[in-house]
Amino acid sequence: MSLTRHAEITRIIDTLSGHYLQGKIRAIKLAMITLLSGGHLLLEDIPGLGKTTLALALAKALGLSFGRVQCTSDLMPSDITGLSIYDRSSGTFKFVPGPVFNNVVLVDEINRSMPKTQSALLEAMEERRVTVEGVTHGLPDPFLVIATQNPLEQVGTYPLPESQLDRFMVTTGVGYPPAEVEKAIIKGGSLRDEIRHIEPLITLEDIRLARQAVKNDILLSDKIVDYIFAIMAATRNHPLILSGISSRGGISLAEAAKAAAFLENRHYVIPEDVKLVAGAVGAHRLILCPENETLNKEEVLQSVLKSLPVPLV
Amino acid sequence: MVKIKRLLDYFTYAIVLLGTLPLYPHLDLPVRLLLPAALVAGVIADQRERTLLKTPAATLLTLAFFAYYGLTLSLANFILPLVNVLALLLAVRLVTPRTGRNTLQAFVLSLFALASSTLIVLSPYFLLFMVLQVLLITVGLVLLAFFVADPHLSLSRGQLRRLLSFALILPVTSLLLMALIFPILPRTQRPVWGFLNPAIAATAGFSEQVQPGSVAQLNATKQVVFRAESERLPQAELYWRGIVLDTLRGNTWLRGDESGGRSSRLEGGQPIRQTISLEPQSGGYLFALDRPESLQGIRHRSSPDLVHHASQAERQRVRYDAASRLGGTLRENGIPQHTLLTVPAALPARVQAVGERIRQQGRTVEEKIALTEEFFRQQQLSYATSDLPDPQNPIEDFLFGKRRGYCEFFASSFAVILRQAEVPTRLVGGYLGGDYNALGGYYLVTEDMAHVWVEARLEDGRWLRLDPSRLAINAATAVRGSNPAHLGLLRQLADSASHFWAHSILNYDLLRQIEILRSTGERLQKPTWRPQKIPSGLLPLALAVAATILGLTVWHRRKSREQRLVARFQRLAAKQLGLGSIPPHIGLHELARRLKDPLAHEFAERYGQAIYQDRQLSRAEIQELNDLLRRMRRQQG
Repeated sequence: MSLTRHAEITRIIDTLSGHYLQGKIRAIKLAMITLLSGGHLLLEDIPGLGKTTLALALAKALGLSFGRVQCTSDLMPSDITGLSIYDRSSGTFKFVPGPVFNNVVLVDEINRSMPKTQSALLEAMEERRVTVEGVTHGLPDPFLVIATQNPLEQVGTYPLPESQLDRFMVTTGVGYPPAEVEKAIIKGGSLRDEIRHIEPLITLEDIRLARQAVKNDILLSDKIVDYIFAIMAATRNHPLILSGISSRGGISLAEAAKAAAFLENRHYVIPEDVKLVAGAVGAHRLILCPENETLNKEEVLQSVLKSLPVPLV
Repeated sequence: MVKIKRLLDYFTYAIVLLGTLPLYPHLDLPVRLLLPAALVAGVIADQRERTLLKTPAATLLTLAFFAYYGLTLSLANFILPLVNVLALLLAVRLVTPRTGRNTLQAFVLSLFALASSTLIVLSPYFLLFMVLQVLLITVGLVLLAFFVADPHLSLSRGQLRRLLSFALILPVTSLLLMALIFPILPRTQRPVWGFLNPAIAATAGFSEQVQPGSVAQLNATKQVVFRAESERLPQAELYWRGIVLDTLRGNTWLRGDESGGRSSRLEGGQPIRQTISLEPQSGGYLFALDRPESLQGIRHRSSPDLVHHASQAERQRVRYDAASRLGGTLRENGIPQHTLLTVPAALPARVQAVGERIRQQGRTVEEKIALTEEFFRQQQLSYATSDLPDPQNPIEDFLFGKRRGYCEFFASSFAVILRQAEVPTRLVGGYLGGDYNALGGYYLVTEDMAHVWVEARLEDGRWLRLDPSRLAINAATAVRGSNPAHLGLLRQLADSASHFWAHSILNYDLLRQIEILRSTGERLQKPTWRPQKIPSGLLPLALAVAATILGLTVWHRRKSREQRLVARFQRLAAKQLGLGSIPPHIGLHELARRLKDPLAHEFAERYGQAIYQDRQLSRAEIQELNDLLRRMRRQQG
C-alpha cells in the first residue's frame, strides 16, 4: 500500500532531477527529506554550482512562496525579519514583512552576515516566528530555510558556531555535475528562466499530508532506535571527536531517516535509511579535536558508521 | 515454467512402471512385448500431443482382453490371467487420451498391479516399490486435481516446489505411521493370500526317497532352502540332517516304519545352537546340523534316528531353534536288524561279489568299512551330475561302467556293498555345506547343496557317519561341502535384507507380537543391564559422540532462525561478490543493491518487512525466504 502523497513527492524529485537540475539528485532528495521532516538545509559549496537554482526550482515545483536574502556583513536582522514603517497617511506604524515570511527562504552566503543577524535568522528557524517591536508574527507553514555558504572563503566571514550549525537539520554539498551533464548544461545554457516558470506540481495541502505521513505512518523500530543511539554513542567515544552528536542530532537523524523511508515508499525505517542521511544530518554537528580539525567531518562520520554493525536480526 | 500436464505424464509413466516391473517376469510373452511398446507409443504420442486410441476402441479392446483371459480362468489358475489382464489394461490406458479419468484409472490399475505381484512372489523389493508407489501416487493425485481444474496450467519452479513439498506431507506421514503401527496391530497367523500360494515343492535336490539313476541328468537350482544362524564352523562339519532312509525296496531307498519300541541316546560332542529359517517346502522335514538333539519354537515330532518332522504342513516360512551335538555319539535300540541289511533282490553279480569279499576279509565293522572305502578308491570314481550311469542297472554301471555319478550313486552303492558285507547301514538325506554370510551371521543353504550320505552301525550300537562322495577322485573340487562359495559383499547384503524381510516382515505374526511384548515386560521388571558387559573403550566413545551431538545442537540452536537465514544470505552474497565474508556494517538492502539480483532484493525486502517492524518471522515467511535462498544458490550454480 502506497504512503499518502508519496507519488506526488516522487514526481517532484523525478521532474527536477530529470530536467531542471540534472546531476543534483542527492541534493534534491536531501532537500525534500529536510522539507518533509520539518528541518532546514545548509548547502556548503563553492559559488556557481546551482545552489540558488536548486532552492528556486524547489520552491516553484512545490508551489510555495519564495524569499531570498543575500547576506553581507552589514545586513541587519530587520532586513530579514521586516520592520515597521510609519504610514503618514494613516498616521500609524505598519509592519512590512521581510523575506523570512515565505515558505522557502534562500539565505545566500549566510556566513557573510554578522552574528547578530545570523542569530536572528536562526531564532526564526527554531521558533518559526519572529518578534518585531514587541509584536510576534508567526511564519508560514511549511517553512524551509535553505542557507548557503562557501566553505573555502574565510576572509570577511563569520563562520557559524557548531551550536548554531546544530539548528540545520541537513548540511550537504551540491558538487559538480557529471561530465556529460555539465557539457549539456554548457550547451543549453542556464535554465534559470525556465525554472521561474515551473508550474507547481503539488498543493500546500499535499505537502502537509506528506509531512503528517512521515511523522505518523513510518515505523521506527526499536532495532533502528538502538542503531541510531549506537551511532551517537560511537561519535561521543571516538578518539578524533571532541563532541559527538547531540540529542537533537539524534532526533534529527531519526526524522530524516523516516523521511528517507517515505521517499522509498516504505512504512518502516531500515538501517540503510539511517546510513543514507547520517553523513548529511550528523557530520556538521561533530566538533573534532583541535589537532584533527583539518579532517573532513563527513569522512570521520563515515568511518564511525563502518565500525558499527547494522542490526540484522 | 513447468506444464502441469507434462509433469503429470511423467508421474503416470513412473507409476505404471513401478506397478508392472515386479509383475513383468511372470507375464505372458505377448503381454511382455505389448506393455513396453504401449509405454513407448504413449510417451511419443504425449510428446506430439496426439491420441493413438479413441475411447470406444479402447473399450472394445479391453473387453476382448477380458474375454480371452476369462476363458483361461479356473480356481487353480486365476492369478496369472488376472495379472496379465491388469498389465493389458494399463497398456490400453497408456495409449488412450490423457484425461483426468484415464490418468486416475492408470494410477488405480498400477496400484492393483503392484499389489497383485505379491500373489506371485513376496520379495523385499516389494517394500521399496510400494513406498515409491505410495509417494508417487499421492503426489500424482494432487497434480491431477490441478490438471482437472486447468489442463493448460503452468507452474513456476517456486510454485512447483511448494506444491510438491506440500503434496509429500501426506504420504511421508502415512509411511511413518505405517512403520509405527506395523509392530502394534494384531495380525493373523496365516497370510491373507496363503491359500493362493500352493506349497513350493522341492523339485530338485532334496527328496524323500533316493533312487539312483531315476534321472539322466541332475539340474540343481540355487533356490534357497534355509538359512541357519549359527557360529562359524569348519566347512567339512556342515552336514544338515533331514531324513533317514533305512528301507530298500528294489533300487529305491525309503523311510521305513517309525513305530515300535525304538529309542535312542545322543551323548558327547560339541553343543551347537542354530536358528533356522526354513523356506516353504512340501516335505515337512526340519533340517538341523548333524546331529540334531532337539528343536524348539515349532510344533514337531522327533524320531529316535534324529529326524524331526513338522506336525503340520507349513505353507509359509518357519523359524525354529535347533540344538545339535557336533560329533555326538548316537546309539539306537529297537531297529529290526533285517531292515538294515536288506539288499536289492536283483543285485548284479559283480557288486554281490565285492560285498561278499569284504564280508569275508573284514573281521570287524571298522575293517569292512575300510575295505569298502579302499574298493571305492580303486575304482577311480568321479563325482558328476551329467552323463550318468544307465538307469536300468545304476549301481553296476556306476561302479564298473561309467564310474561317474553324484552323491546318491556313491551313497547307495556304498550302503549296498556294506549291507552285502553284513554291516547295518542306512542313508541320511539332507544338505552339505553352506555359504556363510558374515553380515547376517548365518549359513545360506541352497537346493544344489542337497546331499546323501551313509550311516553304518558299529558292533557297540554306535552310528558312524560315512560320506562316500568324498572318495571320488575329484572330491576336492566337485563336492559342495569342500569348497564353499565366497559371497560378494553385495550379495551378502542383498541376502541379509531378504532374510530380514522374511523373518521380520513376512513372518511377523501374533505369536511374535505376544513374545515381544512379554519379553519387553520381563526386561522392564528385571533389568539385566550390567556395566561390566560393555567393552571398556565403548563408554568414553559413546560419551564423546553424545557430547559432540549435543554440542553441535547447542551451537546450531544458539543462532536464531533469523540469524541462520541472514548468515546463509550473506554467504551466498559473499560468494557472488567474490568476498571472503560480508562486513558487519553492510545492511541487507545495500547488499542486494550491490548484487543487482532481483531475488536478493526480494529477500531483503521480505526479511526487512518483519525484522524492521519489530515482529517475528512467520513460518510461511521463513519458508519463502528459504525458497528464495535456494533459488539464489541454484542461480549461482
